[in-house]
Amino acid sequence: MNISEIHYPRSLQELMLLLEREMNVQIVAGGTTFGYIQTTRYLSFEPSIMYIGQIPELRSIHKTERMISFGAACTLSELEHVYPFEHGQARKLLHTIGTPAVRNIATIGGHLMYGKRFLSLWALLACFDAELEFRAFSKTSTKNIWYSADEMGMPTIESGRLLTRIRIPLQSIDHLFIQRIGGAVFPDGDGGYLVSVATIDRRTISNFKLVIAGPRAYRDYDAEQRIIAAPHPLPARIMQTVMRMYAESLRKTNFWNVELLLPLISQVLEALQRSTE
Amino acid sequence: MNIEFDLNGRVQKVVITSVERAIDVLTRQCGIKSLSGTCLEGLCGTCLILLEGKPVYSCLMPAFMLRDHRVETTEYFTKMREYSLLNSELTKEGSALCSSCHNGIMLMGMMLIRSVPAPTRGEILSSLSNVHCDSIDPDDFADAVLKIIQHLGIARKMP
Ligand SMILES: Cc1cc2nc3c(=O)[nH]c(=O)nc-3n(C[C@H](O)[C@H](O)[C@H](O)COP(=O)(O)OP(=O)(O)OC[C@H]3O[C@@H](n4cnc5c(N)ncnc54)[C@H](O)[C@@H]3O)c2cc1C
Ligand code: FES
Repeated sequence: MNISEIHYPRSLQELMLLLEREMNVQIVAGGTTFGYIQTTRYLSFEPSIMYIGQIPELRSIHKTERMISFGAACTLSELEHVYPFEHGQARKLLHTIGTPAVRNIATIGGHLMYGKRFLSLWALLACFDAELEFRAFSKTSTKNIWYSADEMGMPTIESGRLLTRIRIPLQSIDHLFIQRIGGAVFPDGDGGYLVSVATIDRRTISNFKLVIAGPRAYRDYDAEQRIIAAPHPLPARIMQTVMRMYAESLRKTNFWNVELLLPLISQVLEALQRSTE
Repeated sequence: MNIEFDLNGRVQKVVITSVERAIDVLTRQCGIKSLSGTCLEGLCGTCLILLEGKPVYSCLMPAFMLRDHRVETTEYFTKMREYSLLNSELTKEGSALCSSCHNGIMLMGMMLIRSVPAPTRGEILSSLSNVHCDSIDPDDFADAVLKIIQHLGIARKMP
């Protein structure tokens, strides 16, 4: 049983100073993953715990005309009524995570920094082009959420990096498709989500994304580009080309079940055809 | 280390280490008897507490997270009139609460009865998902909570 030292930084500045000073740090936000995964009565952490749940900068939500930004220590419950979770289907997805008693302490930062796999909201946030703001020492860097997946689609979380904010550009949601695939999502398993989002502007598809995330993450940029700027509804030949592109790129991953996913992608495109501006 | 938090309306001082779960500190050091901690996985709800007025599983929470927070357990409510009203309403509805779920169900009920604005039926039903209990009929629970809210509303309006 290892006893760790517990720190309660009250500001981001204090936290950054502690992170610079301390070695072998464990960031704890809602703490739910530790309590759940460790089946022993007593918990164990790295030698130095940074409890970040009481830092106001990490708990605030800001919205401008162009984007929404939430602190990494916002709980999943706090995000329930903000973009993009104010959208019925997105909120339904949020509600699949545990129960209200889990979501009242589990944070979005802990959800995205889980590291072992992509949890339930990752594919949705990737479709919305979420950007993650990290701090390490005195440096701040902002990366697209895809930065947390490598070329093979595996999660790549650098330990010791602090996720401070999540920023999402606001867009009109004319098509949102969410489908659960496979088995369990947490704490591990082969389950995940296929999510697709599109914006239609004056009968043209101005934005389209389709992301699958679970043990790995997948997206075909070329297929998306074939759809973006195409007329809505999509002409049959573009539909066929896109389906071929997805079939090919899914096969190339040597990971995803093509026979299971292609009919779902076809459903996505059919739903997109039915969407209205 | 020493930490302080507000437990059932009183300042509570405890000595904790990083390894303890909140449920263990509440039961062993603070004398809370209503929590049982059957699964330690956030599944059964027998360890539910209110943290800043919201339900959380004390088995999943490291004890150090209690610091400076307001915590309520079922003990806080047992002497209140609403508590006995809810208890008898639930028994009347035929939902004899099994002992392991009693804490969670009563805590959810009291949280809902005291919440402003009054909860919707949907919110009442969704709060039950925090407790894994096969012995309570969700509709009976919602009826009981709504009846007490209505009753108290009328009582509050009387001079
Ligand atoms: C009963 C139960 C059911 C669940 N069901 C689901 C489900 O159906 N689908 C699903 O997707 N998930 C599910 N989860 C997982 C849940 O989403 C995560 O447990 C939760 O979001 C993690 O948040 P947290 O704040 O508790 O993170 P913590 O446990 O505090 O931390 C998780 C990890 O992230 C790191 N971390 C936390 N915050 C930061 C930060 N700001 N910067 C850098 N690193 C950080 C921590 O060091 C740790 O490694 C479930 C969890 C439980 C307990
Ligand atoms: S002990 Fe079962 S939910 Fe906490």
